[in-house]
Amino acid sequence: MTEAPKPSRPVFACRFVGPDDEDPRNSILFWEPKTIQEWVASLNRCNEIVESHLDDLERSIAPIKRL
Amino acid sequence: MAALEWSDEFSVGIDLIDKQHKLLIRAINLLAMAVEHNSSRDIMKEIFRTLRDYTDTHFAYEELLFDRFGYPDSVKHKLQHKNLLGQVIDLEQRWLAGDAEIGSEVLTFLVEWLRNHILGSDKAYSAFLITALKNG
Repeated sequence: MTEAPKPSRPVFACRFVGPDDEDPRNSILFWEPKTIQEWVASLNRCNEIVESHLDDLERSIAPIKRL
Repeated sequence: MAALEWSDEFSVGIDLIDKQHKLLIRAINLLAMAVEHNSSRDIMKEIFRTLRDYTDTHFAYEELLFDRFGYPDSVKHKLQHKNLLGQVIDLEQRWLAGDAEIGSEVLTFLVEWLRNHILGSDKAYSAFLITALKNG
């Protein structure tokens, strides 16, 4: 018996999280913020993800030289 | 050398939007850094994708605020967003097709593109949204 596909979970705006993401810290990104507090929390989390992604990219451009 | 440095003139007075603009500046600077280091096409491609997707993300969060608070120039501003995102997508597509090289001309375009977005249009909503956010 094949497993039923998971229902699609549209991400509100953060393009750096896919519908299969299961990190509980990202749950806020799966609905449209209804209050300013939710907007702040959603934006903060997305910014954290992007910042970490940019850190990775920077390391791939200029890897830290090890002695 | 950074293609664009953050300065107070860019601040729209809303910390989280300023933070997003700083990350967009960082993405453009990473592209400049990748050019300087002769990075691989895969790395350049990923930086371009990041710039395009984060621009889209940034605009969506701004537009949610416009809708929530009834920003009077919302339609005009959303149209500017559409055009700005279209310019980045067009540049990315031309580069992927081999019709554009990433050099000083492209970096200057992206710097001006972001400066126009922040100074030319985002400064316009600053006072309206700061007041709206204070009043909840």
